[in-house]
Amino acid sequence: MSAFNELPEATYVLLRLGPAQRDRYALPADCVEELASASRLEKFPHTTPGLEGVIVRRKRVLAVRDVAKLLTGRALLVHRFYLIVRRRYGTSAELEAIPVSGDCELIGGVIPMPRSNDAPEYFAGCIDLAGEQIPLLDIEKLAAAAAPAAQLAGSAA
Amino acid sequence: MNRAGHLQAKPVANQKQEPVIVFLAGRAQMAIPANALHEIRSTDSLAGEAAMLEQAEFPWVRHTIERSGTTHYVVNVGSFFGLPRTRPSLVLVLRGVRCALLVDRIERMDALSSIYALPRAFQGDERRWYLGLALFEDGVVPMLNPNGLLTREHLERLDARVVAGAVPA
Repeated sequence: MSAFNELPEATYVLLRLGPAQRDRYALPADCVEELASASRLEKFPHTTPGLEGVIVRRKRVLAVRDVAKLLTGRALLVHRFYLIVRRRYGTSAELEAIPVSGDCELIGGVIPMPRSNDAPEYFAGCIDLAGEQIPLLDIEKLAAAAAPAAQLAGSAA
Repeated sequence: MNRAGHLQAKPVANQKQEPVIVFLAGRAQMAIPANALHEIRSTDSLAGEAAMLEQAEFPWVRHTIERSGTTHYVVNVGSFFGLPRTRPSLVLVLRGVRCALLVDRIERMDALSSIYALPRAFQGDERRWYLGLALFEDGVVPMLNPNGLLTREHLERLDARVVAGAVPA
């Protein structure tokens, strides 16, 4: 179990990865840059599992990572928005886009609960929202886990 | 949530405009710096010059051509990337590398002052295949690295096949 003081600060972005109530997840707000409307997904051959392609956002090219399949077991059929998140690469950071199926919500003042021992590594814990337990995601561990779970997008040479 | 002025605007700076060739392979658009090309030939015009290469290890190489006494391997770009099968009609012979590209057709010639680095989330062979991403009005196009498709290991193994094929049984 994680100690309480290891958990991220208590402002979160609630995101939706499908139509069901259980398809809601939370991310620490400090790793979220913005919520962007659906942009044209640009695809090209590659071999990195979990990546769908790129979008262009404010003259920046951002990788698009599908995490829905890993988290919900289903691919996200409708990309209504992209949640733009910050990934760490050593001492620097880079933005990445996560397709989400609906509006996101900024919530604060909730008490995070630590991860249970049997939960996947990419869950940092959960937050209680009106009696519902919303999994709290660790974006770095989620990205690492999403890769093996996804199918190859291109053919390796 | 928006934090302005943060992070990666990552075009690789280059104020001078460089010509690029945008081509189609397996219905996908790709680009290559124009100065990487030595010649562009139709497959028909190369029919007498190209030699078949019988090997199964790299199914995207079926032919060789000779240039200045050196064997160049013709890479079917669509097949290399696992793209839908098409009927390529052009061969782009590259300059300074022992590789030629079999492609569907040239789309256009364009000019770019910058290309965007491949986002670091991409961690596979694409880091070798591409110089970066070109941003055109009609979308993002990967810029092929002329040295990226055939590695030294590929060339050594293909050379071995050519030598083996040349030895009389």
